Amino acid sequence: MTTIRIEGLHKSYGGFEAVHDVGFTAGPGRVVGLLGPNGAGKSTTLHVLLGLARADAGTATFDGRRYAELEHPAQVAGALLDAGGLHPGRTGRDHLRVLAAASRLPARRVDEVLAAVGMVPAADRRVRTYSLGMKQRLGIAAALLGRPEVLVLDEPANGLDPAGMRWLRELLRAFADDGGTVLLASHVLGEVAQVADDLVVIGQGRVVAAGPLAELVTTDRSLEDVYLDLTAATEGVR
Amino acid sequence: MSVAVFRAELLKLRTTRTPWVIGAVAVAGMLLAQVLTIVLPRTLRTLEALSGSGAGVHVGAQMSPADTSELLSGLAAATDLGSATAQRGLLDLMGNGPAGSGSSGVTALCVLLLGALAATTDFRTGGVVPTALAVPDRLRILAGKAGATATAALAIGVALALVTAVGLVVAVATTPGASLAIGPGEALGVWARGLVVMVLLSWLGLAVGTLVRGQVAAIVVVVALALVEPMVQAAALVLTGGATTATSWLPITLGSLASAGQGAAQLFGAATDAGAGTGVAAALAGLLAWAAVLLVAAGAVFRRRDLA
Repeated sequence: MTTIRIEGLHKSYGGFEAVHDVGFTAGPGRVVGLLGPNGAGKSTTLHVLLGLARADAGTATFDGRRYAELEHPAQVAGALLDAGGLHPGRTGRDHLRVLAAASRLPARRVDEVLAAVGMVPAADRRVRTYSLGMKQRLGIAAALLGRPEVLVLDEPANGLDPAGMRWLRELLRAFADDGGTVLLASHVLGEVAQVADDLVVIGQGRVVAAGPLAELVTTDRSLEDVYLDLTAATEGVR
Repeated sequence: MSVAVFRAELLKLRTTRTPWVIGAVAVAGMLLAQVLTIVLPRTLRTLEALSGSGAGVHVGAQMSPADTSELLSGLAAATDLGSATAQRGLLDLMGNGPAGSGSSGVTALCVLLLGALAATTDFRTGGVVPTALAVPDRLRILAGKAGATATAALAIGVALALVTAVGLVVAVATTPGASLAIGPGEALGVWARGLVVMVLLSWLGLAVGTLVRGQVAAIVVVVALALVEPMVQAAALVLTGGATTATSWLPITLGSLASAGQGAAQLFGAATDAGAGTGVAAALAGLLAWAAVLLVAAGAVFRRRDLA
């Protein structure tokens, strides 16, 4: 089982400081919701964690190892970022075959994850014919390919219909209950409230609150109330 | 290079239409070059006959019938499909033509685009992100792309070689008195040099695509390279009275010289083809240097660049 640990993370783009001294932990068996307004630094934090961007200072590790140091990264962390990097002219199955080949995974895993996300009927269609929800499912299938111990998902609920939202919620809950670690960045507060164990709220590149959901949200204050109070001073695009 | 990354990158190329379209265009360009090369001598002979017969047909309004006849006769000799030079030209995968001057540049442009698109498609679609998640080592990704691009370039090259072989057979069979003037070893040598040049040009395109990232910008760069280089060379020759060979060291010119083997000695300023062997080796080395320098630069930039 794997723990994500982020400590003292700083990242600037030109003169813009996207992330300032961000730190938190996501452990096995927990679903950690990463919340914050647009441009708060959520995606930048995930990109640094996954080795896609270089930190100016600080560390982001999986059990003490940077993503680039993982010998079999697909077996440690599966990720869905943005639209999943899908080529519109490639079929869903071929997209997964490419990633399975790059990660040295057996071809049968492609069929398994397609079945797991309910995409078998559309697997041999080109991605350009997919709805946004289908693209999200394909992206989640890609994240699951290596049977990872950690899932890092950026807005996975985008475009999912109500049945898809429930499916995603159940998937993440089951993944964490099996000892997996989930780091979930989302704007859909209702979904986060239903599935998250812990929350990390980021505003203007800084952590403004972190802790168990049960401690931050009470019976008379919803997650939306708490979130808006915490981010009131940092709301809006920087 | 990791075999896994190579397989993944090759699968990327195989599962989208663009590389197949590029291959089809290269083959079509070669077919056209072969047809024109085979038809040209017959056209010249017909014109020569008409000119000589005083039938009123003239090539060049300012020329006398005698001069026209002499010119056509000279051109016909230069494009004689029974000659070893013309037959080597027919087999040239870069489509330089029998006298080394008939290039449409289609092959060069196709493999440059193949490499450039192999890199920029990943940036355009965001496909570089899941790739980098599967393979965090950027240099392994670039090496895998180089291997896959080279394999695709070789596959296209083999198809072109088949077209040129058919073209040579048709040319010899339909030219009165002509026979094969080059041996199997020489034919294989021409093809091998062409294949190497195609791989190196595809790597050049890959490096440009990795450095530039934007797909349209990369296409503009490689097309401009293919179009502007001959203009630069012509301008340099005019300005120096043909004294400079510096522009012969530009990449596409090096590719043409190395592939055709004709005129390669000019790299060292020699007027004859006596040093052609050395010239071909120098042209290949020069093109390899271009590809290596640009790929190293691309690797250095790609390694440090934020991908998201």
